[in-house]
Amino acid sequence: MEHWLSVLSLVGDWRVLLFLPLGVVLGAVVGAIPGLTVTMAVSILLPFTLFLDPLPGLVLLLGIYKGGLFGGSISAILLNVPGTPAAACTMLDGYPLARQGRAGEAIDVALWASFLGDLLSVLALILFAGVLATIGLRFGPVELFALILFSLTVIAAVSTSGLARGLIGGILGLIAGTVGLDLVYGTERFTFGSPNLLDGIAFMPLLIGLFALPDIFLYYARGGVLVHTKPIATFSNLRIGPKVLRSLLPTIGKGSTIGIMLGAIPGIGATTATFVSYAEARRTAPDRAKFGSGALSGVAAAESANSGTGAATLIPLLALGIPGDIVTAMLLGAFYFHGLAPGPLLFQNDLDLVHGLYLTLLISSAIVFLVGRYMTVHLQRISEIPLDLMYPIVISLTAVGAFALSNALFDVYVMLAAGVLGLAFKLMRIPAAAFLIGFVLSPLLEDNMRRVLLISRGDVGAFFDSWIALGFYATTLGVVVTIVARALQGGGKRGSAGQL
Amino acid sequence: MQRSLPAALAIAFGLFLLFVAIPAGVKTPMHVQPGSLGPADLPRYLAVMLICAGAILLAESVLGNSTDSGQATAMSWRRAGLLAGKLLVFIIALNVLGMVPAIFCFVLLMLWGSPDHSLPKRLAIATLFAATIYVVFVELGNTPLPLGLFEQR
Repeated sequence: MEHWLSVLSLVGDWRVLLFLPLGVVLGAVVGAIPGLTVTMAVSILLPFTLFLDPLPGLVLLLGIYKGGLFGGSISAILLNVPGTPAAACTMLDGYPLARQGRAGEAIDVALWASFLGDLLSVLALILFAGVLATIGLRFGPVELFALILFSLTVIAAVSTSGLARGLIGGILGLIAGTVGLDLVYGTERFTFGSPNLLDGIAFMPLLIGLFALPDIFLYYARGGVLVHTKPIATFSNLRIGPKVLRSLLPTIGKGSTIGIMLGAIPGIGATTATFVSYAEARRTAPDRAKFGSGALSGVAAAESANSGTGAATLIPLLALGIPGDIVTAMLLGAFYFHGLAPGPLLFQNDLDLVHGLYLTLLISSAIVFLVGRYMTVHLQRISEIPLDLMYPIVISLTAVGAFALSNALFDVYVMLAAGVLGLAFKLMRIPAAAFLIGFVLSPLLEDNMRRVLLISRGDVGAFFDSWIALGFYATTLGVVVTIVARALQGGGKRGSAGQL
Repeated sequence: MQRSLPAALAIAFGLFLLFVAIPAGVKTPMHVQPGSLGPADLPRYLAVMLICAGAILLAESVLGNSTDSGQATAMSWRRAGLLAGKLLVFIIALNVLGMVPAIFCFVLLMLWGSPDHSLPKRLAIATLFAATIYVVFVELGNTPLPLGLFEQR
């Protein structure tokens, strides 16, 4: 009882009640504007949330994430431009529906599918994260090493750019993570005499630069190619009836399940989930004949899978401390900054916070629904703000954010350098997400590697001295073999692509 | 060339790490526990793995079995240079003028080429935004934003 009173007092904090809807609205706005991404918004706002208490800060970021998942569908349906990569599938049927004057129905379906997908995803998080964390408590350094290796390999393997490029991104991230003082011996690594690098490359400036700036740099380097499209269809108040909604429920249920399952695996992400769900609905939905020319099931399948990944990506993060995608890697940084370490121990030491987070996630599902229901018209208008006006402001905000973290101009330089690095990654199609996750996991990997070797006195065989670890190695190998075999068979033909 | 450039860079960077950066940039302690991982060991393993990944990518591009499906994103180097120049001005202004005036100059500079905004509009946007940053961060947030030259007075 005392525990739940404590949870309620955490959730009842005015900052939580303010930042939760604010985050959802902000996310929906960002998601609706082509050219602005949810990762961009989270990376810009992350430094500012670090001055808040853990829960208000985290719910603001999670609100942006969840709002963005739905917001992307608005521009996909009305402008034929996906606001987020995961909304690409929504566009396939949403836009034809809008052209037929059924934009209101398409957005209503997207909203219901998002709401239900998100709700089921949060329930899955509540059900499975605790169980996984209990299993995670049994993990020693060998299992953790194998898990990190598995996560990094999967993230590299499912990247849209191919396994080799994914590996290069991940390895570069791991190398960047070794900069600074060695944790055991205290000697300097790659600092080259700079005191600013003794604590390693600062995570936040790196993150902001890597994810907020490259798209903006590219926009200017291309001469502002991303031209704003006027909406071909305006939002109408036409909504779907209960009968139509009932007919869509099996598709939404299936899409949500696909989203939850794929979202919980590190590295898969929302884009792959939407494509898989769309393909499944195309095979089984009652209106499958209309797919591509305006099927409500197409929108429902894509959006439910998209939102289904939302809270599911938090399962490996909260339970094992392994980030599954870019946003959860950012959240991991936020947790660390607040002195919290996601993983099994979080469920032992900070259960109030975990349950508070669950509760706010449930509330945010309802807020996403309300925002979508009553603010779509305004979101559509906001999506027409010109990017050449917005981008200088975004760059300036990133500079202020990077500086404000440690009051050091060096961090602003790190951020700008990371922006250039991110642009280079984009041009060479090296996945920045693999780099970031490698960077985050680098100290963990080294620490666990060291522990295994110390305990076994240098015996490499100790890395294979656990059935759980062997299971992870086998799965890792299976993923790599499948990807390579598919690449060899397809001769470069790409499968459905992940968002990384 | 487009396909082999990242591979070549990865291999070159791996070799640079192995033969230059690790020997020069990683200080080895007097004593490393036998059978343990020294400070240079993980970077060395990673450098080797980077070279291997680069070699795989190079082989893929040479054999034409690359998983590279798309074209590299096209961009104009002249425009990229212009942007780099503007960012350089921003960095210099940050050091010389401080954060708020630097932001004013930067926003103005970035809006310069835009045909959609008249000069008074550009000035108004830059002023409004810089003033908002000042009020929110300096006055309300007590963030000690750098003042550049003004700091010495």
